[in-house]
Amino acid sequence: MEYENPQIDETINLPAGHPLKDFAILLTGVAAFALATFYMLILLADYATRYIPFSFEQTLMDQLEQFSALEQVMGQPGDEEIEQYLQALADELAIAQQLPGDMPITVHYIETPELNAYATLGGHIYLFSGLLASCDDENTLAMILSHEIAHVHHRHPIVALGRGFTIAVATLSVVGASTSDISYKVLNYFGLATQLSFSRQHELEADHTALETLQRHYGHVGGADRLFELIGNSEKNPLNTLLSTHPLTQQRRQNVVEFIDNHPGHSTPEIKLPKWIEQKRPSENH
Amino acid sequence: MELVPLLVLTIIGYLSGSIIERRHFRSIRERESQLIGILTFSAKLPPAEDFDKQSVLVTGNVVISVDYFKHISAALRNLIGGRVVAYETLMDRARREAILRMKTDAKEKGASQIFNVKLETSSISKGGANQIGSVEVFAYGTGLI
Repeated sequence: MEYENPQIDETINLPAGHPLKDFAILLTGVAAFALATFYMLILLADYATRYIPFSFEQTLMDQLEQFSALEQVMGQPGDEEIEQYLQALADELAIAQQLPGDMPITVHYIETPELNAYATLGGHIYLFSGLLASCDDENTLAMILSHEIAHVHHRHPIVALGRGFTIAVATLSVVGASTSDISYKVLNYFGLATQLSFSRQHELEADHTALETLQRHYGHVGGADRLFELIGNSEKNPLNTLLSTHPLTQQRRQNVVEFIDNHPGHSTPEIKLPKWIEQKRPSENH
Repeated sequence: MELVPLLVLTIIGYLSGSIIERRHFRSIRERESQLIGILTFSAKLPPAEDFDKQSVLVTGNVVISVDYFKHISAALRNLIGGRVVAYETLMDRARREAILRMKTDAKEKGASQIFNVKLETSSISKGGANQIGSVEVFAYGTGLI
């Protein structure tokens, strides 16, 4: 008997299509689906986080504080007297902003040259000494504080956390990490939750509320735009953080300038910072 | 920014991977036609008239690595399901290369027929789940001299 092994038709095992075409279809399909899912999850998270009581934020932050986890992330606390001054100013501004009484603001003054300030869960506001050193008058400082208070007022930190958390869990469940990995990574996100990044909408909303607060408190909004001069002038400085957590500087500045133009009366002299603060705070050039 | 290294790796993987694959397929086709005279059978025993022939073990082994492009491609495919085309070509190359090496072994040993041909495959991806692995195919059979 005669046997033979014929050449096998290659198209049986090998697909005819180009691998890149297959890849492109896969990638766009998966990306579109992921984006749509994430978007819906974010909407859902935004909706759900509204029902988290503010007291939960406070409890969460108290617990983090107990583990001194916050200090590690935020840095060393700065001068106590300055912190008290900032707290008093923030309390006045909170009243001007009609912040509900059960949402107390706690200001933390942190010794670090970074030009940054942010609001986080539980009404905690962090102001870096680098930013204070760049402020010449109380009005600019009040603009910064009002902006951060407005974030708290509008519950932006918990919304941002909800979004971050949702995206983290969704990503990890798709990427597929082992169980121990998931808890580790989620915890890691939680740790970073103190450095929340707010959305563009949040920043603009906070700016608007802050301007209204200044108008109510001082009777004018002079000095509010200096915050942006401060950002613009010091591009050599380690401004990266301020720019990255507060993007869209251009649009924000434009909105603030418009608001100032529509609210005359800012010829009223701006209030200088108390002398003792100028002596106590670190100098600008360090 | 985190995507940049991923993108670079994928492009490198695609370019190098497809060049190597094209060359490999060319070489496989060439050698397949050269070695077509060496017959392979899955039957355990040769026909009765060949029982008096001398037998010898012939083997062929190959390990081929997955490139990054195939890896990503397959990972995306994993989410949806369907034919993992990126791995199909890889497995086809590995299987045919292993058989070719077995046939070459048989030719060197003077065998012209191989009975009881078996293929073993295993993946070499020890360690992390996201590590790039390799595929091993081992072909063996009984060569008749």
